[in-house]
Amino acid sequence: MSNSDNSGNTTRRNLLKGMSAVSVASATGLAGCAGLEDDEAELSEALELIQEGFEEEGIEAPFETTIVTNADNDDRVEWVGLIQEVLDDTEFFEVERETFEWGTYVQRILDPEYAEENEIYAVGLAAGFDPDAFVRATQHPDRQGACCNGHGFSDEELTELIDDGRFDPDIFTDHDTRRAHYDELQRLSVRLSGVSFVNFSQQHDVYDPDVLQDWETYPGSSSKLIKGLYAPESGAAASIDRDDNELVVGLPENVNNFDPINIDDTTAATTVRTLIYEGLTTYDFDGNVHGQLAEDWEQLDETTYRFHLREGVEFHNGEELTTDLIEPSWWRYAGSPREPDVFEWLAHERDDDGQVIRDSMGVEAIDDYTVEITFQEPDATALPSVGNGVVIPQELIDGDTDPTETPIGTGPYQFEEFRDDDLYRVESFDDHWFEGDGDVPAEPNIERVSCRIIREDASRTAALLDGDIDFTYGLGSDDVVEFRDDRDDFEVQSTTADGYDYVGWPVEHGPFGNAKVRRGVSALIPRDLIAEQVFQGLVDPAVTPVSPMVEAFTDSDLRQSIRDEELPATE
Amino acid sequence: MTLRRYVLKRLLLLVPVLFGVSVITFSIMHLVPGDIIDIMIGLNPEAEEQLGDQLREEYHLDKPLWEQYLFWVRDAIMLDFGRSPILGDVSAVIASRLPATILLGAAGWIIAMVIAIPSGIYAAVNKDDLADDVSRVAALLGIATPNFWLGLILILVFALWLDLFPVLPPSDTHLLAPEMLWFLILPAVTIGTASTALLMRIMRSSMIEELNKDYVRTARAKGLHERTVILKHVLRNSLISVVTVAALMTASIVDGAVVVEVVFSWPGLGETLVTSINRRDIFAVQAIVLLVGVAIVIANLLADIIYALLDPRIRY
Repeated sequence: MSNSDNSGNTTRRNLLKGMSAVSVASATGLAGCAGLEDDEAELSEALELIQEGFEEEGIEAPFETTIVTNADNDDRVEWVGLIQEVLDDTEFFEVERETFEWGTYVQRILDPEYAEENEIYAVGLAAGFDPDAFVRATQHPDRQGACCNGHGFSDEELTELIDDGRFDPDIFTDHDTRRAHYDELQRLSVRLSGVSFVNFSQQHDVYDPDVLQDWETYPGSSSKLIKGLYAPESGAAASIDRDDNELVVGLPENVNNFDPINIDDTTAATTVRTLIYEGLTTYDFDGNVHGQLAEDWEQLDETTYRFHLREGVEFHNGEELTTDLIEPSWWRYAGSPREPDVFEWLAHERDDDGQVIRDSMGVEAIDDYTVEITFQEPDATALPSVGNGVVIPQELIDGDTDPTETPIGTGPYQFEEFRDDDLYRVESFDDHWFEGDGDVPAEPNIERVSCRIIREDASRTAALLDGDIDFTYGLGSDDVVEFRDDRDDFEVQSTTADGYDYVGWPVEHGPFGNAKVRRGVSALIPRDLIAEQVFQGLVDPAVTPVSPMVEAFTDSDLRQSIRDEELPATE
Repeated sequence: MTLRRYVLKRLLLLVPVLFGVSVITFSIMHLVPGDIIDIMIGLNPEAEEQLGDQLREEYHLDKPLWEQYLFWVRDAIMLDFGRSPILGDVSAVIASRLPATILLGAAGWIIAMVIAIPSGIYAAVNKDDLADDVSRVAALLGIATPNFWLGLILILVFALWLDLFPVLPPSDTHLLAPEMLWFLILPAVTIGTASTALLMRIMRSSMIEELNKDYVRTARAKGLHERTVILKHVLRNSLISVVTVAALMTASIVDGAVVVEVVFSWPGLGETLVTSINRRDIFAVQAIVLLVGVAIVIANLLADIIYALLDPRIRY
């Protein structure tokens, strides 16, 4: 599924929706450059819409606002600057720019009160293999304060379409019906433009192929590192040609979090969530669902599944996995930034304060290895969703060990060491449940993975060239192009990521509450210029939400027609 | 005034200076836009409402300003800088990162001294010769080169092309291990370059000034060896201005560390400061700024004392 020709964007520092990914396509369009001319007859369609919107809201131009982003992603800072410029040029807006450190930034935009801020935020999203995540994460009202509807944009009709696409069996049980449903949904989403999509991210792994062997870049960004290292369900197991058997990874960012209920960004997901923790199910490289902690399952009725856990699965601390750990592990998600991982699909009730009532959760242990899980309603993503809730040992549940400092799971790697802003290290876990098959050995070939945290792109590039690190990702587009074109000793593997970069409009503020204004400004985003100038042609411009990777639900014709029909002309 | 009295007086003078430093650092908390507690917790979705009041009480923010200041100073003297929401115990973080920064700064400082003083003397003695011109151009380049750029160029040339150094500091060793000290050379040169250049120019000009004075003529006239004249008489007198600059260099080395540590992934305080500023992590920023301020004050105190030792006439 990799596509090195129109590969692109560094997906580092993305928000994380699900754990999942599939393929390729392209979209084109017009660069938006516009200026508010004195002669009103010369206004482009987009500017006319903005003007109408201002008049309807009774707002005097220019409207002051701020565009914010995270400081550590050079590409993103650059394209945010271009958007700022384009909006300023309309003379309808006066836009300031502000940047934050990633951890602070995420907290800021995922705060339930964030809608109060008059800020246009720019960020990336990693969504998975199912079309639902691409639209739900950024446009469903339930995702305000969780990933990733920062300003709490909502529209009744759109919300209903989003919910039906996933929860209405009349729609999701037939592929063509569901596909048509998402065509309509994407069209409405672009017309309303509560958030505007900028480009479809791409993922680039850069490494020395003489050292790191049999590497396969996972399509989609979310769980890339572990999937390449060791993914029994996909038949992938990389190895390293060096005596110490240690892979040294250059991480672009600090690891902010070790507790699965708090992991809301791709760096921690890549290095902690998928290396150390496991859930009942997981995706393979092609987007098929496999059992992880569950060996198999059967569906009992529309909303109930019975899962059979693998027997003898051990945690890194020696505890054995049994079904009674599932409920307390999942209950921890309530009220956390990752709450939707569990409570978006699991049947449950809440008390008057909105707290989840523990006894009401749809998790019933039949015996040590059999559990029945009840969903809120028939769910198109039932099986993969179950895999989003990880299971942790009693030691963490009781708080004897603090999961924010010491992660303990059942995954193929176990935590060894962490030095803030410096080093994160895991070693392979010898008692991992997988017993090996023809393609994949029982334990990972690579004994140890040391992640050096190197924020400066140039230093990380130098470290890779010098052999101080073996593997990195998240380099700026300039560096990626240089590695790809000029450095034959190194391999660049690129795939379309399972997500997009987007901007969220402050819908509670001034003219941004008006859909006409949002459509106008959305059209003005210079997507093609950004793709060419900032990303060196490595990304596809995005107008619609569903990534080309999920090819069963989108294609270039659809994306182009939505772009032509739903966005006003800018010239 | 005896030397002892002079030192005592300087020490007493520290009190108002440190008071000033602490007031300025303390006010960072009140100068940042918005409420500090809101910044700390307001954007944390997990934080509960009463947490704000609890924190306000814990950090005495519910008290009048002067009381807050006194509490803060008391805590600072006890080396308690509060708990940062991200880093945890600020003092512990500083304690773990400070040694690396001190080592880097000291190495940069030593490099500056070792290179600047002899080359400054040489340039002064050979005034208007080729050596002087070369040193002038070198100094200009040294001052004009931004240190992050210099760091990257040094990595490119000495680590990548010549392969003499690793690009990253060794990860599994202590600070004073030989491979760590070897790695330290490039960042130390990077951080020391601008100071070297400045110091060399100061050394040269004050040396030239001294060389024109009467006592030099006298010394030469009485037949002293030129070497003795330079090293024994002139050098000592020209060092006074060098000492001042060397003390002030502490400041430029500290702010150089901020950039250089990021480029070389050096696990010191500079890197923490950058991250903390970006995170709006006020307690960490306050603690580091206070530390830097105190370090500079102390460096200046040492400079004053060294003056007095070098020139017995100095007793203000």
